[in-house]
Amino acid sequence: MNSKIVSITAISFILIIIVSGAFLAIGFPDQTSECDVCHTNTSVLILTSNATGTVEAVNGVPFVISINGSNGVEALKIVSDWADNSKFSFSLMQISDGDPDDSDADTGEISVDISVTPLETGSFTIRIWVAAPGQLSASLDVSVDVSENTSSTTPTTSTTTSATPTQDPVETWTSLMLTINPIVAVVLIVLGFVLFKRVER
Amino acid sequence: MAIHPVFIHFHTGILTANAVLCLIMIVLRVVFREAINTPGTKMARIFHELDLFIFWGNIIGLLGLFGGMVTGLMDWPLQALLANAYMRAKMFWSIMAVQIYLFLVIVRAKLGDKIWKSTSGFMIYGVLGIVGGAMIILMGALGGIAVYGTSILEPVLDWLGMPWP
Repeated sequence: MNSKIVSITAISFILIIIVSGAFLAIGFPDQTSECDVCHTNTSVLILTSNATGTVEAVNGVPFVISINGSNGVEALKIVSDWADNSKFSFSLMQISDGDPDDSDADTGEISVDISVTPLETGSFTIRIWVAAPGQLSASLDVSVDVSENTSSTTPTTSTTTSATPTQDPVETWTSLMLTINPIVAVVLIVLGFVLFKRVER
Repeated sequence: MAIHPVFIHFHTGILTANAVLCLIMIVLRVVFREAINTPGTKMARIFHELDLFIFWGNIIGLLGLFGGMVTGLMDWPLQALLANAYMRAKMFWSIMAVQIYLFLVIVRAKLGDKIWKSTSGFMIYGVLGIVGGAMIILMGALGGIAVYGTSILEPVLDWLGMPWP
């Protein structure tokens, strides 16, 4: 009987460690490395925007940047710590190939309209990274001059159509990690208990 | 240089072979039950050897899974992995596969080959071995697409709606 208890305790303990590992695996939300820390920054990936030269914007007034990535682009990301991205609010900060906001149906190509709202005045740079299989990456810098908003009221419409916000896939992944895997652990612990009881009898 | 690829292929092969052997063992257990339970018979010896292969293969595979997870996180920052749907799926299924193989190794170590003599025991042990192998194959396919852009299993992944989550 004692050996059964020891065995069940051992299984429970180890499975708890595994499940705890799943929790720990999401413990670095502040990671802000730019993509070329791990990926190779390459001109193989083509990344363009509709911005020609410096974009003239007004503080608090949204404008839209159309981004096109091609030649194998798998994911596009904007992190607030990159360049001056923290000076802006973005309607979309991450998209993968084939996501609902990707208007390009072809594999390896992403087209997306991102609504950008300046949060303060000055000359800033927006930095966008894309990555692809084979550890490839590429970045695009968009220069923006943000002037003071002289209008007495905050505009309610953007200069062009704004993108529809979508659910962050990482949030979905995180919630599934924290629900499905613990459930599997509990089911396996119960199965182990049943097996020890039946087979050893 | 990425070291993750060095740690993933060996145990992927072993655990895939184990899944096939689990299927064979289930069939043998059902068809030749009497011969298997009779010590000294040829079938009992074959069964015993296959059981040992699966047991040690699961141990090596489990160590390989840990190695693959650790080296994956050494090679790429978590933030970069989370940005890729294929990598998110691989991490999710890796954690689940580790749980399953940990279960198989502990249960077999504790119960010995008696696990195959119990009806509920051999079904749970054998089926979980097959499920674990299927996960390993899917993870390999996801990794193949992430690196090379394509996999022979793409139609299966499309049918399953993967990569998810």
